[in-house]
Amino acid sequence: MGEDSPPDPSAAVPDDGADDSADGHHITIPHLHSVGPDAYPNWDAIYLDNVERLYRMMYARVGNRADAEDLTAEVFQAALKPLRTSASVGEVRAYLLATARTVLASHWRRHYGTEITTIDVDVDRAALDEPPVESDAPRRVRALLGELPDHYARILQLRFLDACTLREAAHAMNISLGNAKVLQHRALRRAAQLSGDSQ
Amino acid sequence: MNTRRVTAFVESLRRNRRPKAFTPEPDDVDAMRAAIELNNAEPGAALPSTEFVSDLHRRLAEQLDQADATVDLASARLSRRSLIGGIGAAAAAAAAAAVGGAVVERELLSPGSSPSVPKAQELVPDEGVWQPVLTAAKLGEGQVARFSTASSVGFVVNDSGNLTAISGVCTHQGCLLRLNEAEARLDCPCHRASFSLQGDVLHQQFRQPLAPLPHIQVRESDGKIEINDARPV
Repeated sequence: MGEDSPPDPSAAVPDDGADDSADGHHITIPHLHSVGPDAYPNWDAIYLDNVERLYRMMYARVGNRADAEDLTAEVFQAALKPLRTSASVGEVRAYLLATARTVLASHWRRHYGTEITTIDVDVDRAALDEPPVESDAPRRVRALLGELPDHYARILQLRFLDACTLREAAHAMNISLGNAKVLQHRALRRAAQLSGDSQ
Repeated sequence: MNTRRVTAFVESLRRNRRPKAFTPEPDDVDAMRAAIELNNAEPGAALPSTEFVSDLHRRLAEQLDQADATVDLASARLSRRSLIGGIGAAAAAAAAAAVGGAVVERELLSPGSSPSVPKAQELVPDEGVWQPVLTAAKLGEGQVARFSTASSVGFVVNDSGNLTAISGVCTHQGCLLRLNEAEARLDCPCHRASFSLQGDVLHQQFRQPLAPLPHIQVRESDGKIEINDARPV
């Protein structure tokens, strides 16, 4: 333990120090538990330090709470026995990420016969180590919509940024509900092409 | 192109529900991937609920307890004694962290029984301990600061020398609130609810009335601002 001992979990955690100022400028997401740089003291520390990281990664891949919760649980249940707490933090995260990749791939193949989204253990490791405090998804989405033809951008804007129902979006665009469905589908396909081109 | 299935998939995402399984065509896969990416534009939705975190923690602890003691536990350097002790403490902390969410769930699960606007509650731990969260000198009059402990997240306000503290967890679905300094209010990033610095609901778009933010007991002691927090086990 020594200098690498985790701080007393009962002690107040000033949000990584960034939010210690009284003005509250920096709103960060609190981690439930912070640990030393080299190893976890026990299995609880592994769980508490990584559950939010893994959940956020899974949510970004499946887009809904129920699946994100199930897949996060599946990763921890699969990792429960093989993981040794004597492993370093880096080794633990690498193992969890590799497990998450397999669990996600299995989920997509089981329910849809193909992988809709994936985890890349090399590319996604950074996001697991240091999850962004603020998601840059809104910025990326707006940039993406800016490249789409107007009517495609409009329906996706209404649906995903303005939280309109399909019916409300159809009304706003003065088109039928059926047309709105087709337009949304085509707009998504075009967005996927643009998104793929930019990567 | 399977517009009906893909539309249903998108609808599920927008409602934060599990989509139904089907076999998509290649074009559909692209559209579904784009829908997932666009759906992430709501940043707060990507956070796990405190209820899920504590429930999974409990399930894993049970699973670990039942596991064959000869498998890996020795190499994990976990004695049964330390295992139980550690899990007990952490589980209690996680459960305490879920307090704000628990209040929310009760409000959500009992609609109709009380059509009136829910009243603000006070979060008082069964076995509380005064926990320092900030140096008093750092919070001048008219200022607000965010705090987090192992058990709770909230905001403490110095209103002309009077200290108040409120939960920093939205009473809708448990998202963490953000301080909107320009408007002197707390905004929920998930569904656009907002609260005053006294915890009152300023704006919400839901059918059921939203509960105000629970108050947390706060005091100044020996130059430090302290909140009445759950006692660590």
